[in-house]
Amino acid sequence: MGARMPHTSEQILQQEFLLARAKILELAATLDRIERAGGDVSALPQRKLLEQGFNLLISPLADTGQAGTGQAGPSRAEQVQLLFSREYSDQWRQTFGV
Amino acid sequence: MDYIDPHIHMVSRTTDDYETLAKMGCVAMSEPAFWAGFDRGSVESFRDFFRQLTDFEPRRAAQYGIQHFTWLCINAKEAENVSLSREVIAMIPEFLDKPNVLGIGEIGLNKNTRNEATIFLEHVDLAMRHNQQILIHTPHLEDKYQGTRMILDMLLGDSRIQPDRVLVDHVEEHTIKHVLDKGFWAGMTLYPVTKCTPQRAADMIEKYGSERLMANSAGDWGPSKPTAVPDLILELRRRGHSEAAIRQVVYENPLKFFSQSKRFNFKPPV
Ligand SMILES: [Zn+2]
Repeated sequence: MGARMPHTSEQILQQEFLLARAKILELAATLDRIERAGGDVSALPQRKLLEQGFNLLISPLADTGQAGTGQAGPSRAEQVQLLFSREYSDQWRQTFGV
Repeated sequence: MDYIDPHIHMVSRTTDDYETLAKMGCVAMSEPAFWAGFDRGSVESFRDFFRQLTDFEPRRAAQYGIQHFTWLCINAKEAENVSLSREVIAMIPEFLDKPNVLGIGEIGLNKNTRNEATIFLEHVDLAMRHNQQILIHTPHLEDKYQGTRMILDMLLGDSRIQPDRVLVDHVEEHTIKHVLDKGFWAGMTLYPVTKCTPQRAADMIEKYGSERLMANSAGDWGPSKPTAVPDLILELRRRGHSEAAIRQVVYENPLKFFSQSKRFNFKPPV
């Protein structure tokens, strides 16, 4: 794709602001719903993963040595994907014997 | 805009869907063999399924001016049944000369088990012995990263494989680079929920460029949207991308990849 991103960051922010706001609101309401139901889920792996996911969103990309510009290293989306992924071992063929 | 859907399960769709797709610009499609939602009981069940893919579906598509192509295999979920899988693999060559067959697919992994890997390797061997192209299914959700890496290990471990004759589907942000860097084609599957949205697919096109990259709808029997490729076209237009750039992803690229199969007798609409 020639001009890879025709719009400026400010244009994109304006276009996406209400959608991003709505998505944050959905997450907030989901957490409220879980708490409102009572009980303690803080030790459950899913709850911990969600919290790690939230932290990835707010930690500056500089902390992981990335620019988020597509130039180098994993973007936020890629980091979130890897957080929710099973681990890969390059020894798997020996383990399976295939 | 005319477009080609490189991965759509029309056996799960109605004739009305063919009509809608035609109205939205779909001129050709390729349909990999996949899981029916339940495990089939015998090799005869697969023989009938392959008749449906090579005879009935192309006729149904042609009524709406859509050219239908297909890929044959036993899918990764049913590959847990190794003996049935071997019977199916032995039967597939009966269908390889049907006019709409492009190759072997969608083979891959589901839960990344030993049996799945064994049957994957046997499918790859079948494809290589018959000089077929390959279409690959990568697992979903938490299994995708591990499974994609395992699949790439198996492909790269076979010196007969030409990466530019293999399409690895369902790539997402954490797998796309691994696939493209090794010279394979990559397909992004657009789903309304839980997987890749048109917005994130557009992000990947912007980030990685459009070389060896395609988009498909899957359009299977689960929650999915057969018209998802036009959604991506709309998203790319909204972002200001040129018509030529969009056309490369949704039309030129599938054409280029499929043209490597001698049975891809595609006639562009005049
Ligand atoms: Zn599929």
